[in-house]
Amino acid sequence: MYFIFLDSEEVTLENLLASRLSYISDMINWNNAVNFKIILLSIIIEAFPFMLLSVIVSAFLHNFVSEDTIRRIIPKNKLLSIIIACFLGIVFPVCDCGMVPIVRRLVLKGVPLHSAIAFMLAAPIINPVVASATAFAFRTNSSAVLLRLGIAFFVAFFTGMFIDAFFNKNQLKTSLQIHTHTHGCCGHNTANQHLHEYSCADKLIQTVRDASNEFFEMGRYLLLGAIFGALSQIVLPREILATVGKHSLISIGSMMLFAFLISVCSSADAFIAASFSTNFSLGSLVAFMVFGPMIDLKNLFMLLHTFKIRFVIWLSLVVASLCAIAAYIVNSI
Amino acid sequence: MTPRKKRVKLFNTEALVKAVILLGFVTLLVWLVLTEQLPLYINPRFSLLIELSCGLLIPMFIIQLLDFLIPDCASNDLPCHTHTGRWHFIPFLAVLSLAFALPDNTLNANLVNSKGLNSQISVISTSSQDQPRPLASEFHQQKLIKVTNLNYTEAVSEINNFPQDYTGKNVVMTGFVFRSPGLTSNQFSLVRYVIMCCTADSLPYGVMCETAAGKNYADGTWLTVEGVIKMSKYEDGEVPTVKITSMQQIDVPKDPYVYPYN
Repeated sequence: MYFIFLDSEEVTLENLLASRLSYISDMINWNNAVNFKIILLSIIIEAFPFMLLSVIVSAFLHNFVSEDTIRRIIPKNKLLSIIIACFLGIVFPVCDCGMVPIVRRLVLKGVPLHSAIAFMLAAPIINPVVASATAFAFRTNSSAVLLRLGIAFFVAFFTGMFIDAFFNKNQLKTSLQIHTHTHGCCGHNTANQHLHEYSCADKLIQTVRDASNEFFEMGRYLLLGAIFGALSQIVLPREILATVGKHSLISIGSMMLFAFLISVCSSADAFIAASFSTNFSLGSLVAFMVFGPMIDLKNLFMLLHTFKIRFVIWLSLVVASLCAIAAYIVNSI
Repeated sequence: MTPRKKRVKLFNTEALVKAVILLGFVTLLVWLVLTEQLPLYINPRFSLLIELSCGLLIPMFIIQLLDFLIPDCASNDLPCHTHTGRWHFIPFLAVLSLAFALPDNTLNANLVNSKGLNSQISVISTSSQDQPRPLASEFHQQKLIKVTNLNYTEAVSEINNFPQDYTGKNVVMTGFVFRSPGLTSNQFSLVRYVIMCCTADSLPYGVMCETAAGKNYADGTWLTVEGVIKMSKYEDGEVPTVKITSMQQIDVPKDPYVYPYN
C-alpha cells in the first residue's frame, strides 16, 4: 500500500510538473517574444517623456529653487497643505511614471512628507488629462469618472493624514544607501551653496547633468517595472480574471492585483478598465483605476529605492485597504 | 590631454556608458519616427511626447559626452564620484538590445488569448443599448457596409450589438484570423487590435465569420472578406456572423491597428 501511495503521489507530481513545463514552453515562442517586445517598448515610449520631465523638474528644483522659497509657499496648516497637495495635479498634469523623483526632491527640499505623498498619490489621477480620458472611456457610465476622482481624493487625503500621524521622521533612505550624484556624499545641504556660487549657465549645465544622473538612477526601476508589466500582459490570461468578475470582494482584490502587475500609465488605464466593464463590478473597476496609478510594480521599485522599506510597506497597505474599502462601498450601494 | 587621477578615470567610463545608452535611446526614437513605425507602438496623436523625449535626452547625451571628453568640468563640484555599480545599466542595455535585435513587427494573434476577444463578451451583455450610434442611420440605408480603419470600432459594434438591423446586408472588412475555443472548423473570428494610447492597452475586437475554406487559414493570417450578415450558433446562443462569399489573403497592412476617434 505504501508503495502504491508513493507511486501515485509521484505520478501526480510528475503530471503537475509536466503540465507546468508544457505551459511554460508553450509561452516561450517567437510570436510571444515579438508581442513582449512591442508591449515593452510601447510602455517605455509612453512613460519616457513623463520620466524625463520629472527628472528635469527635480534637477531644476535642486539647482534653482531654495528650500526657503519652498518653505514659504507651503501653508502652515496641515489639513490645508494636504488638501492643496491633492489638487495640485490640476495645475501640473503628470503621469504616475515620473512621480517618485519629484516627490523625493520635494521631501529633500523640506516639503512635509504627508503633503508630498498626498501629491504623489492624487496628481496622477486628479488632473484634466486623466479625467477626460476616463470620461471618454466610460462615456456610457458617467458616474465612473466622478467615483474615480472622488475616491482618489479620499485615498490620498487619508493616506496623507495617516502618514502625518505615524511617520514624522525622515523616511528617505540615507544618501549613503542610495549612492547618487545629486546629493551623494556632498550631502544635499550644499544645495543652497549651488544657488549662490555658480552662474546661470553653470547651473543649467548642472541641472542637465543632475537630471541625467537621476534618469539613470530611477530609470532602471522604470524599465524593470515595464519588463514585468509587459510579461504579465503576455502571461496572464483574462479568463482567470473573468471568472471572479461579479463577486464583490474578490473582484476588487483581483482587479487591484491586476492593476499593480500590468503597470499601465494612468492616462491609458481607463481604457483597459472600460474593456472589463461588461463582466466586472463597478467598484472593482474604480479600484483598478485608483490603485494602479498610486501603487504599481514600476512605482514600487522606485519607491523602495527612495524610501525606507517599512515606510513603503505601510504606504502600500494603507493605500490598498483604503481603495478596497471605498470600492466595496461603491459595490454595496 | 593631461594625465588624470584614477578616480576621474573611473568616472570617465561611467560617463561613456551613460552617453552610449542615451545615444541608443535617441537613435531608437528617431529611427522609429523616420521609418514611420511609431504607430506600431503608440497612438500617433502622441508623437509630440516623442519629440519631448528626444528634446530632453539630447542635452543629457551632450553633457554626458562632454563629461567623458573633458572630465575636469564634471569633477568641478563633485568631489566624489558616484558608486554606480555595473548592474545598474543592465536594464537599459537589455531593453536597447531587445529593441534593436528583434525585428520590427506588429502584435500578432497570440495575444488575443491573454487579452480576451471582446466581441463574444459584448454579445452577451445588454448594457450597450444606450450607446450613441453615430453610424446607424447611414448603415441602415446602405446595402454594402464598408468597415474601414476609421469606422472600425463603431461599425463592428453596430454589427455585434444590433445584428437584427443588419441581417441580410453585405459587409466588407479586413482583419486577421483568430479562433476562440468552441468554434466549429468552418468558423473563425476576424479581428483587429483597437488601441487608445499605446499597444499596452490594445484590445482585440472583431466579428465571427463562417466559411468552408476557413480551416485553410492559420491564426494571424490577414484577410479581406466580403460576406452576408446572419445569425449562427455559437456555444449556447446565437451570434452575428459574416457568412463569407469571397475572401482574399493579404499582407500585414502598414497600419495594422485601429486608432479610434483620431
